[in-house]
Amino acid sequence: MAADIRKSKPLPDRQDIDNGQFWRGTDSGQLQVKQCGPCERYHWPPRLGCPYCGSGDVKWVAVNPKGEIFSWTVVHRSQTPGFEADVPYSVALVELKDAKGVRMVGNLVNCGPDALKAGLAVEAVFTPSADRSVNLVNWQPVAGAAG
Amino acid sequence: MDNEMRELRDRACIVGIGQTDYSKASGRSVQMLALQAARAAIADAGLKPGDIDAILPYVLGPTSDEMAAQLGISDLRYSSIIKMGGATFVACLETASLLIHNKIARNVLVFCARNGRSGTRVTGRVNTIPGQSFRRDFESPYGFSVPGQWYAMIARRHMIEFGTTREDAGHFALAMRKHANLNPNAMMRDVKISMDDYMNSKPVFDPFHLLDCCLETDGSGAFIVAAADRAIDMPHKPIYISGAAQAKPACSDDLCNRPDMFEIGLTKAAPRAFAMAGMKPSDMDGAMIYDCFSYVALLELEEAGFCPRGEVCDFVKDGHIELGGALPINTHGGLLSEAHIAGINHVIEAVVQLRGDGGARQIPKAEHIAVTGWGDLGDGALAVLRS
Repeated sequence: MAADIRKSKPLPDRQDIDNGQFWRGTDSGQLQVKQCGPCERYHWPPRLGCPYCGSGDVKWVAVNPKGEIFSWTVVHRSQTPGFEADVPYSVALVELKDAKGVRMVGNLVNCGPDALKAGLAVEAVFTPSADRSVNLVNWQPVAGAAG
Repeated sequence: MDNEMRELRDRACIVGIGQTDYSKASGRSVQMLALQAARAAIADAGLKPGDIDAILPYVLGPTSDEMAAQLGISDLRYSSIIKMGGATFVACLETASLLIHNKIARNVLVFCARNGRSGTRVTGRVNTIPGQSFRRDFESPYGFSVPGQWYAMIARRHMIEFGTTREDAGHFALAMRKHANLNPNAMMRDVKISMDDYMNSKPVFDPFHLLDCCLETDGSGAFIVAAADRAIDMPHKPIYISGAAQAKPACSDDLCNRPDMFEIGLTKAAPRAFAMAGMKPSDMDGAMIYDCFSYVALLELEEAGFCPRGEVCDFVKDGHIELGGALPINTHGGLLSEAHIAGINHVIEAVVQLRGDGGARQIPKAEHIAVTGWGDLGDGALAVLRS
């Protein structure tokens, strides 16, 4: 049993008092980021103060779950527990289309490594974790964008 | 403020260096490794262990308490951890200069010891990286959890924006190996590589392949900093800390979301350190560039001002960065081919070169050498050392 536990993929802590709201959103297919009241800039990952103006008036807001590939890596040698059988797998950095300045990390799905390119239009895919405790956010090419 | 830093120029010197052998299995504890390197550095400076009155340890490994107790230091006046990952030891040159100039300490010991291959490997060290809840919740669940993967995002973006190729990074990796082949203490002293070997090495975190990645090492390094007016009476030629500065990138708790992904700590630290020294990158006779990954070193060369952003591909070609070239880099072989002692070995090599003790790998007439550090999610530091 111990060996099985070691092999499971790491999961987010959906009870985290600061980050947990993100996972309550993904439960219903919503993508949320933080936005600053005074300067109105979006930011990510979700901090308790705005990294651009320092205001503590930052709120979770739902945003359009679409973006484009900014950068990526293809992992051939896993360093994360549970990912050994997935190699090679792609981790993409996706810049959101409407929440300017936000880039999210996620796995590329329905997209071979050869189709990866900067600027490729992608959309969020809400993927249940293996134990179904949380919806992770992965990314797939928008229909017609690949190739 | 940068002008005020000039007060610190040449006030402190590196007066002693020490290192152990570098291996995959030291057969010793990190405590023992640290003590061996520290004792060697103290002896090299012509001091006794009890003369040390300040210690700047690494975030991981033996503490200043453990070192002081085992070196018979009964009055440790100052100790603190400069937490900048691989930029720590270059940043320590700034801190040590401050301690010396303000007469808080007389003899500062800086050291790093690790069983980085046989003991705690990289996956065991990432819990010191900033923004742990972001790493846990928004990165690790996607199999994105170690420095090489973060840095691969910058490298890929550099390829996208500037057309940097694997072969460009290969020039850097090959130069490191050539230099290591001249260094009897380098882990890769007997292993040669060709561009074909480099291009065909296995992908790890593409675009990083195996020969883009640093070694994992068991070993230790240490150095001693003392006041310039005392250093002239010590056994070796004093090596002056002419300039030194550290800096954090914007949002140093997350690497992926900076508006300008290439603006790192070094982008800000380098001009401050050069201004403190009253020098510029082109004045350097050599450089020790923190090379945890080949592409990271390329980025640092641009951001430290050795060449304009986007032009590093030409800079590293044609032997320019090799011994005999215009700017020999990492004459010890660097983290890629000498050893990974978190960059303290870069500081030590700069001292070896400035003393003229480089033997087969000596840079002729080496008078000024820049040393860089890179750590965690883009922290940076640069020092200008002179003989």
